[in-house]
Amino acid sequence: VKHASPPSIGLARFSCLAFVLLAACRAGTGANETGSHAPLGSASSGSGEAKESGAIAPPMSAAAASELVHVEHVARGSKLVWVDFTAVAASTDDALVARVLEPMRGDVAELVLARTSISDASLAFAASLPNLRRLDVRGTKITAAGVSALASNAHIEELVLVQTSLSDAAVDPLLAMSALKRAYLWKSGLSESALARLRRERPALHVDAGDAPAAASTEVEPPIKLTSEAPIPGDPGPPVNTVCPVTGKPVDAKYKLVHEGRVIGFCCPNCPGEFSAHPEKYALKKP
Amino acid sequence: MQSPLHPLEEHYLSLTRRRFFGMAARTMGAGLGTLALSSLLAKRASAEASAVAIGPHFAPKAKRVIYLHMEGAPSQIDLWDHKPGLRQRFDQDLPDSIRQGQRLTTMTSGQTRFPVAPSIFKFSRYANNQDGIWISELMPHTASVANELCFVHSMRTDAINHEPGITFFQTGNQQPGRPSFGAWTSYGLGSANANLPTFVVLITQGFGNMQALSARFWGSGFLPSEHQGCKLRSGGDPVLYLKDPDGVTRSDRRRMLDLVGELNEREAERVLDREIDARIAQHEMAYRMQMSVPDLVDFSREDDETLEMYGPEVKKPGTFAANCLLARRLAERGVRFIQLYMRGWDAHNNLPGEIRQQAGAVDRAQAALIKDLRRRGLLDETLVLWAGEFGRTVYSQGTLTNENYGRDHHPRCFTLWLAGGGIAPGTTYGKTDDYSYNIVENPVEVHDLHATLLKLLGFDHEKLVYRYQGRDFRLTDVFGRVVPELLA
Repeated sequence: VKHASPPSIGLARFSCLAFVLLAACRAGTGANETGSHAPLGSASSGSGEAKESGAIAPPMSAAAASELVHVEHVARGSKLVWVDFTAVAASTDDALVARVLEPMRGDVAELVLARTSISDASLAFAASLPNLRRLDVRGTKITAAGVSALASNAHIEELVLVQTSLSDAAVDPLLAMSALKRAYLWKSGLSESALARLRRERPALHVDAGDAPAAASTEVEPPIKLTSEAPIPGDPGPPVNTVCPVTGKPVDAKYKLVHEGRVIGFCCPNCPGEFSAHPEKYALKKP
Repeated sequence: MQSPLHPLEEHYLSLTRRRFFGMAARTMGAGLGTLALSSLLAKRASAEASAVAIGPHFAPKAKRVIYLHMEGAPSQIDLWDHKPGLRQRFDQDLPDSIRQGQRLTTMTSGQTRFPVAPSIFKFSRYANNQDGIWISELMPHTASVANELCFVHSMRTDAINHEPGITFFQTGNQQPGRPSFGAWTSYGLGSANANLPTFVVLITQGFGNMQALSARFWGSGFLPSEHQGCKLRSGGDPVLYLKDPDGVTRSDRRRMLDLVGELNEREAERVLDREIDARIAQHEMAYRMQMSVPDLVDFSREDDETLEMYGPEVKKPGTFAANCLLARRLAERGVRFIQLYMRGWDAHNNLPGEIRQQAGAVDRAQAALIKDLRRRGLLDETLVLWAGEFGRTVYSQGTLTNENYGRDHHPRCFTLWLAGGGIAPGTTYGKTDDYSYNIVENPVEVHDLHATLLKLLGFDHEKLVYRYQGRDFRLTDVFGRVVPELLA
């Protein structure tokens, strides 16, 4: 269970690793060669190899490797990937998005273009990705016209459009997205009435516009009164005597035991033991 | 293949990896030379990072963790674990049937009495997805997001003092030396943003007693050093010596790093020490952080409403509010493990006064963090954990009055909460007895918590291992069970 034989796994790992590094080198030497991204680093070969050897290399396109774009399988053994442009958000434009994603277009399940410099063109591109489930375009310059490119989309389930400058014209395409389950629309430029319409016409759609109500207080504790009225668990009650039967000193109510149905108090922790050993010697007179 | 490489395989791989680079650099020829080397080195680090990451065992619910560690151990009795019955037990002795000979710290073992100190703070019930949750008046903002939180009232730990307690929570072992949770996460998931560390630590000074915080709480133990937490400082430069000195340009810096990198490569080839690779990776990370960190800590483009939500302290670097906002910005930028330490919860004496200040410092900001992550669509993929290293005793340490009391360390039960990232929202798990002294239902061990959080990150905690000194080590050691009731 622990280890395969060293040479075989070593070689498999190496071939897998080499694949990624080769992609990196190729990109490094030929960053300006447009069209150099074909079969090298295509998703299918990457994930196929990953499966056999134990799955460490994601299906990096050459462009993804060269631009520090994050590519990660959504699960071990799945060919689907999450692609995240966060590390290079500031320098990410429509051209880069297309260059990075084109070679793996069939594998992209989640795409994060948050805070990038993309325009509506990348929304149209994202709409054409056949397996896209989640799209995050938070904090970009997209418009309602761009969102309309998503109208016929039947597989995107979650859409993050927060901090954008949409108009109410985005509501119709959102309503038309048949697979959409969750839409994040805080500060997206949609008016109250547009949000209300979205919620009304698609009650099953979870619309988060940053307006979720605070959890309600349903009950408030009455004013606090500190007492010591409650009976102490296991406490037999007050002792019948005020003087310790062993020493004759005053009783401390902390030290007591039950003898023949009566609670007897003692002066200190030593006396109950002595009493139990010789009850006849110390027995109090029965009342 | 989920098991780690055999040392021989690792060695073999390291050799081939090096030969590959050596070869690539040579065959590219002189024309490419240093020009390509810089980009090669920079990109290599990221390519290697993705190659080295283990990757999740199954589809993760959470991509990252924000861990709010309440250093010093907050009182569960005054914040979360509502025991109204104690109000009629004021100053009674803690019954032996409850204490059951529990070991005490030397700070209270000499006390002649263990008088019950009920909380003097009023609780209210808030609607959640079950039958509601009672929360103290000290945490009104946090209560307002109760429907997002999952409270565990039945946490238990083995440690009774801070140092071993925090070490246990961070590393799964009371003795120092094991990798921290954040380092395991970095090792397992790898980086999602090559321009920032995978594990970042932020510290806030508190108001009460503060115990030492050692850097090894976020150390990488025997894992490669690049997985250790990177602490951002709260005042001045977030990272010391990150800025280039006057007269040094960025291209000078690049040339210097390329040369040092080359020398390090040669040394690594000669002595085959894995830590030299870590050093090269860290140099490259520092170079990239020169660009990424100033943008990270610049709050100038946050809108007023957001700043207002975190509270007025947000503008003061190093406060819990500022660090919560920074945590959100780190989460947005793909950092895998963000750990905030809030110091000062160790209220042995004068608990009411101290906890008012402590809770006041965290309540609004942590609620804001939850709301902010939620409205940006990030909460479902970000796991938030709020926990101290243990709980506090129901009996008073020192003099008990109507207005004042103290509480000693209590490992046998305490409360933590979780949110986001696949956690069942608006729920409560586990129960303590009438004295909040013993667990009576559904105990959760620290290893169980780790196993559960790793599951949400996509890992089988029994398979995320690292071989060191001939043994496969895990975050959960040889313990831990996933608690399915905490999962959405």
